[in-house]
Amino acid sequence: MKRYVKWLSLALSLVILIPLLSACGGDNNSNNNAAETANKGQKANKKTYKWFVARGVDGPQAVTVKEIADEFSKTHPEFELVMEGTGDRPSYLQKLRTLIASNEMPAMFDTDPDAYASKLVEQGKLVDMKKMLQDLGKYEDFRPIALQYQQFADGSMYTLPLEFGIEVFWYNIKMFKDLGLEPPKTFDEFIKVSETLKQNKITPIAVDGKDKWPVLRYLAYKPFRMTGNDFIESVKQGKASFKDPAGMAGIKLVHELGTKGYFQQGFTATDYTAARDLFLAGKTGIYYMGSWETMNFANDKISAEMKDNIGFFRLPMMEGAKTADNDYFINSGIGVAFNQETFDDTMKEFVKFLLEKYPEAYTKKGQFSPFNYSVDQGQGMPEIFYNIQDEIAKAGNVFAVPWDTRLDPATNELLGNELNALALGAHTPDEFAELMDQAIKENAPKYFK
Amino acid sequence: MDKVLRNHKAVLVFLLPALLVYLFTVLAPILWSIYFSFFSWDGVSDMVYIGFDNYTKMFGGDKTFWKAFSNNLIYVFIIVVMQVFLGLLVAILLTSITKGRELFKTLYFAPAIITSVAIAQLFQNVYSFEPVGILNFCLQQIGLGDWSRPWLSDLKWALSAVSIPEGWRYIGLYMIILYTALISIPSDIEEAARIDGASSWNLFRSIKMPMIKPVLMVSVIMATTGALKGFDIPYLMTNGGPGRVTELLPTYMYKTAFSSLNFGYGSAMAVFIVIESLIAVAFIRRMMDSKET
Repeated sequence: MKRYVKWLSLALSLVILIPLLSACGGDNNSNNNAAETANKGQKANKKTYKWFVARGVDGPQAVTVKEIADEFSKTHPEFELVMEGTGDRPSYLQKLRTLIASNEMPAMFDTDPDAYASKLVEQGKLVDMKKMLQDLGKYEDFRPIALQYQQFADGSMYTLPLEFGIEVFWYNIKMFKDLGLEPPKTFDEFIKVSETLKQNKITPIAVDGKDKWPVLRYLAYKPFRMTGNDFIESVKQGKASFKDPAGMAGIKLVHELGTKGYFQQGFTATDYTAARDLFLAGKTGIYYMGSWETMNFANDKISAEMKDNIGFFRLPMMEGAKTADNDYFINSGIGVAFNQETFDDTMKEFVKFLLEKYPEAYTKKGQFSPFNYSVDQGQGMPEIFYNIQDEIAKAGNVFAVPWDTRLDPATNELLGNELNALALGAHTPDEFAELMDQAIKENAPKYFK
Repeated sequence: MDKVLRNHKAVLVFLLPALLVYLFTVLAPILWSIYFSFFSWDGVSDMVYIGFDNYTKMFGGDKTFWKAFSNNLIYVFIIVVMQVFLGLLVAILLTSITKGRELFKTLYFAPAIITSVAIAQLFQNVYSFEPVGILNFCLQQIGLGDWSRPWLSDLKWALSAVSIPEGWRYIGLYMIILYTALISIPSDIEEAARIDGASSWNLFRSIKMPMIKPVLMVSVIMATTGALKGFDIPYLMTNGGPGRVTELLPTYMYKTAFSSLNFGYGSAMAVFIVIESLIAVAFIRRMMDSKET
């Protein structure tokens, strides 16, 4: 009897242990590393490439690429593209960086040409995109700014742009007309317009404070007008100070807009869609955003009161500005980087195929493509689309770089948090400048050697 | 069965899987954190050994760390008060009604099963100022318009505003625990006290409280440790902002490691949180022991 009990207990404990062990083992197999599966030499040799997307996978870029990838799979049955999207940017970056830190870099992933990406380049982990586009003879097909935006400061390029956009201030035409306001041409006028709106009980500006980058843009406007991109390129390495005139001008603008209540109340907790909805519901006069929102502002997407009621104006000017009025924030979005380790012939074929098909497919979705490709009038696009298309054609060739793609990650994180506090009046401009200089002094040397 | 339990080897065999899982999921990460905390590492470059530098930075110059620490204490205080004391109050009220008791129990417990993301969204709308949320709307309706404010962007109120949802969601859980303790008090003790002429307050203070004290203490420990590792709701609602007003140690640790890419320093903070939680539990247990004797 006793022996049976022993056996029974042993058997039971095995029953408990076995699933545990197999669970541990299972983890390794599901890890779909393309190179690994290829080496196993199985008959049905399907290579799965993972694209880690910094947006929802239902965005126009991702949908277009997916359609093209499916088409490509028909002629190349071994190829399969799997996408994983994370809409919220901070979480996306955290996930990506954790994957990379644990040696599981996806075959394709979205990244800005930021300090982190340059570290990956240093380690030889990314495919040289400039060289590849030149080899494929596609380099000249892009809008020059679209490629410049993807470049690191030294002119090298490791990411493929999939979109193109200019950033403008959208405004409510009727609201401006009723109050006799003109779209502002200078920052002084911009403040005056805001003040008039405010006095008429209208919230002047809707801004997404939760994602931080939209407020960061406001900090960068004046420095860009005063110095081009020189200020950010030198301040990020501690070669300039936020106490310099350009830095202080930027800081004071955010402080003024925030403390005078020109942003909507509670803007630090407003997310992207909520801010846009405030503007689209006619609650605020001005909303700064990129041309990627154009189709959402088209007449068939908005309420009756807002129809033909949305205009846009350029980044205001100021006295002694070094950049022209058609120079402003232009970007080709977050680019796609390719993992050097999984970049084989199939992948190269795919990229070639993608570049052939992408411009037309993407533009037909009402988007502006990084390629020299435009839609003629009368092709069924809404009026606002053509207006922006014209504006893009007129845009200058100096463009402002987003600060969050330039600063080191630790300073970036701090800046995002403290900038909202500055706008709420928790810091004086001088305190804020001091805080930022301190942060850069501490964090920058680790990144910019 | 007794024979099996008397056999030490058999007992060990049964305990082993649980022990392995525990070692693997709890102890190993803590040890890894301790190891990482002696390095400076951004996840890409080589790790550099820097000894105790991360700890000196933490205890020395990092104002944000101490700000997060004091925020965390306030957060713990609000949550323990809400969960345990409001939970106790609701439990007492429940024992005094007879009709619809089950219905109320279910209703109060419901928030405990809603996911954090949904709760964060819900309260973001409650606190919203533009467009006006329900809290500010009610304040304006009852003539307290001056009090209405963007709660989550207010430098003074944001911390309380993010603490309340976390406290609110588990009131029901502690209500159930304390309610069960209250109804398990034998009714003859209560009757005897009544016959001796004890008022309701005296009955509660001198009879019921001492009898449920062990359960109450367990509740306090659970609520405290739960709040010390509070992360999801503050992170989702304000992400530590505006500024550092709602930064808690866990959110600061997470951001340091995964946004600022300072895995070493983040790990040092993780080690601090482990020690802090252990101290808190030891402290509460001491309080419990001294009160019982």
